[in-house]
Amino acid sequence: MTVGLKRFEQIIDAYGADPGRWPEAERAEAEALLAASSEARALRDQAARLDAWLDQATTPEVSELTTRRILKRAPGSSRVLGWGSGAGWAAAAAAGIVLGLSFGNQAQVANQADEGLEQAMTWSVDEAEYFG
Amino acid sequence: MSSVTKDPDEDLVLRAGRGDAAASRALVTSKLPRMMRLAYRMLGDRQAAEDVAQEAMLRAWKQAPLWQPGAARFDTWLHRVAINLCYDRLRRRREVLSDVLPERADEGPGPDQGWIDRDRARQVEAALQALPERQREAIVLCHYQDLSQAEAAGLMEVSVEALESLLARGRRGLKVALADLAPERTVQ
Repeated sequence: MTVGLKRFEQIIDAYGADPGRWPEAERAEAEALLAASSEARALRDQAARLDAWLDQATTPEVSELTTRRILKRAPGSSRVLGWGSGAGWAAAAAAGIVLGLSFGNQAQVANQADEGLEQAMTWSVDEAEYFG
Repeated sequence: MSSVTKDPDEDLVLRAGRGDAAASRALVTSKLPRMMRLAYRMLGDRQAAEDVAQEAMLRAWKQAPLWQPGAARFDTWLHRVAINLCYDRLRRRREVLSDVLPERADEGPGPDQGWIDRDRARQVEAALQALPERQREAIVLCHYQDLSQAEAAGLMEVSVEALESLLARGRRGLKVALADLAPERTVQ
């Protein structure tokens, strides 16, 4: 057996108590040692406490707006050309003016302008840098 | 994982690259929260994490039509993109802090008592943020993202032995930090 107590402790110290995270090549031997050794089980239990602490950290959810924004940019989805450029910003502003003239509804104009601004900002993020 | 194992995301990525909306939605459903988790653990900031997760997905859309099966796992590629974005932000944060607070040695939010003692989750998050970046990255990739040793070591461009050392030091640091923060508490 190449996984003795010393190596078992190193594995536990690095990867924690869950055998699924242990190195695959040593997992079976480490699990055999765990079954046979109370010292190994004590080390595992100590590591399990830290694992449980780590698992209590929470992750905030991604907002609906961001999710929609990403889906809008998926390959093949409909796009408005040129939002990342200066012309795109001008087009966004023009769209706001046109909407204002057409509908005269302030709330609706604000919503549409936000949407245009959102698209413009999304496009401006990556045009120069991402492609290729 | 070994390179001979088929990439479980390959089919979705190729379909998304061809404009399949259902495949794009499935990728967003599975990868966006995963990238959010990665970025939040690395940065400790909700808005910054969401920005990174979004940027990583947008880069995925650029890459999907060009995706070459077999070169790398999509999930690993996406992790690399997100990790690089996180390090860009950490670097910028360091620069701002060094301008504003030149005398401060520790660049992270750190375990300031005012916000770490509210509940366990925040204690853990604070302790994670107080770790050196590379130790934090190792723990995030292996514990929270469940990457294999080979994948995590490859992403970090270190040997598996070096990864193990980073993990062990990180976990030791966390143990000390959490013991200091909540000496009377037990996990169960």
